Amino acid sequence: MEEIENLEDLFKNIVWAEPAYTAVYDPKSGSLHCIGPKSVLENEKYTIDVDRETAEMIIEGKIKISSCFVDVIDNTFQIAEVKTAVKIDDVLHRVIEKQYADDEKIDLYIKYNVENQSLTIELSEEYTGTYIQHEKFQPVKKKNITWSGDTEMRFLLTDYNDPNCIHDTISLKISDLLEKSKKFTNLSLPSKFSVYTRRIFKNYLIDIK
Amino acid sequence: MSFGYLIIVSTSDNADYLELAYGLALSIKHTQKPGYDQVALVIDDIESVKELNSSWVFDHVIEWDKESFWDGRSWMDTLTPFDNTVCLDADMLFLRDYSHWIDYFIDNAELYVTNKSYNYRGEIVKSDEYRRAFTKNNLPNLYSFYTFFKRDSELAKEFFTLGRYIIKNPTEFSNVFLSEYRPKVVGTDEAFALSSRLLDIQDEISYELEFPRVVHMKPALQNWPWPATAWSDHIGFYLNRKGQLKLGNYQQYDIVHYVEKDKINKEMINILEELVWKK
Repeated sequence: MEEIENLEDLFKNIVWAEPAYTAVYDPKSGSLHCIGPKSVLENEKYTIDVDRETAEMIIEGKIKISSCFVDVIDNTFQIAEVKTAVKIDDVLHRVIEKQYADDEKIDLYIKYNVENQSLTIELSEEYTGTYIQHEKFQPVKKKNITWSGDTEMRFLLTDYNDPNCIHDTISLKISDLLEKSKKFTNLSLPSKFSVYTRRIFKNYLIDIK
Repeated sequence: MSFGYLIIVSTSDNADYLELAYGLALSIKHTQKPGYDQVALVIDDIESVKELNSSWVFDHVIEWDKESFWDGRSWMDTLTPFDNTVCLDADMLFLRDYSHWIDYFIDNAELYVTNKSYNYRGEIVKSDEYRRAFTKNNLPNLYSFYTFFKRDSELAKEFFTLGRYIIKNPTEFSNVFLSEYRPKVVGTDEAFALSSRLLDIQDEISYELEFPRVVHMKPALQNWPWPATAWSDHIGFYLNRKGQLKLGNYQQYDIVHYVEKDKINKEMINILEELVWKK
């Protein structure tokens, strides 16, 4: 029988397996039923893998399970509203300009008209908003999500790529964007500016014209 | 006597190192005065350089594919086209004029390897989170990300030759000289530290200086009271159109080694290009 000479060395060399997590969801609404170790839920029919950090935050209650859903069309896991955001990009997300954006579906679209200094905000048609997705994403299937209409979105209009210097703030409720857009006028902004917001949706985009 | 900065990159699936080197070269052209703004690039795919908007920011482009990834940096003494060189990591940005550092090194040193780094709040890094092999084996705390050397220096030649030999024979050197804590990889930093100790030249090549000042953005070095896997989870990277950088709400003035390769993207490159075009 092999003798263990140094227990400390033995433990140093043990490679612990990375725990894998999965979530069980409703295939119609995309809402989550439960989340747990993959080995326990492997017999469930509708499951999706979730990264360890997110899974443990849901289990610990830092992210509400009711705020998570599965996009049943794209089969991707998404968090609708992060009430306890831990990453700076979740609480202070910079809205990317159209010219630098990846070619993805847009959830919230902002258009800034340089000439009359007005800013129009639209929600994607997927969420019953007025922004029509690019034709390559058509037909767009409506997402079956129940929004809290009181959820407030606040936008900081700042120096270019510097949220420390705020020129203006605007806020609106999600209900302001259901089947309509919201326009803000008489904004006095520099020629180059940035928009920061708390991240409720995945993809934001600003088009400056 | 010529002087210039040397950046050595190779093609990788993990990051676009040419884009990082391009961002660094643009920031050097933007911030350094004439005579201190020459940049040489060593790369395994010379054709890709021609696709850049302003490939002229590289005053010399040298095709070389003998080594890949960071091992290439240990060949800096044989690759440089300059009499006096500072070899840099590609994932860095220059934010002000540092030419007075160069004046000092040219007058006073044959070889100088940086021995400290700072976090984004300007505090000296004391953590050995990523440097257990250094502390456990009592190696000098050398960082290869900013290395000055003279091409005709015998001391430098000897130092780099041994460094290359260590990188080529990591197991043998680890077993004998790093037995208290064997690093997973004997990289350029470990090889340089070991080389300086074996040659007993650490006091000659890395004595106490107030510069170069490099902000090292590995997350565990930021003196945060919580563990961090990525610094950008906790603070923002804000490069404005004047080429001034804030990390969180701290304005940066020293060289920033940003570590996270996605920080230099098309938009940041566009900012730096416009600054250099206007200069």
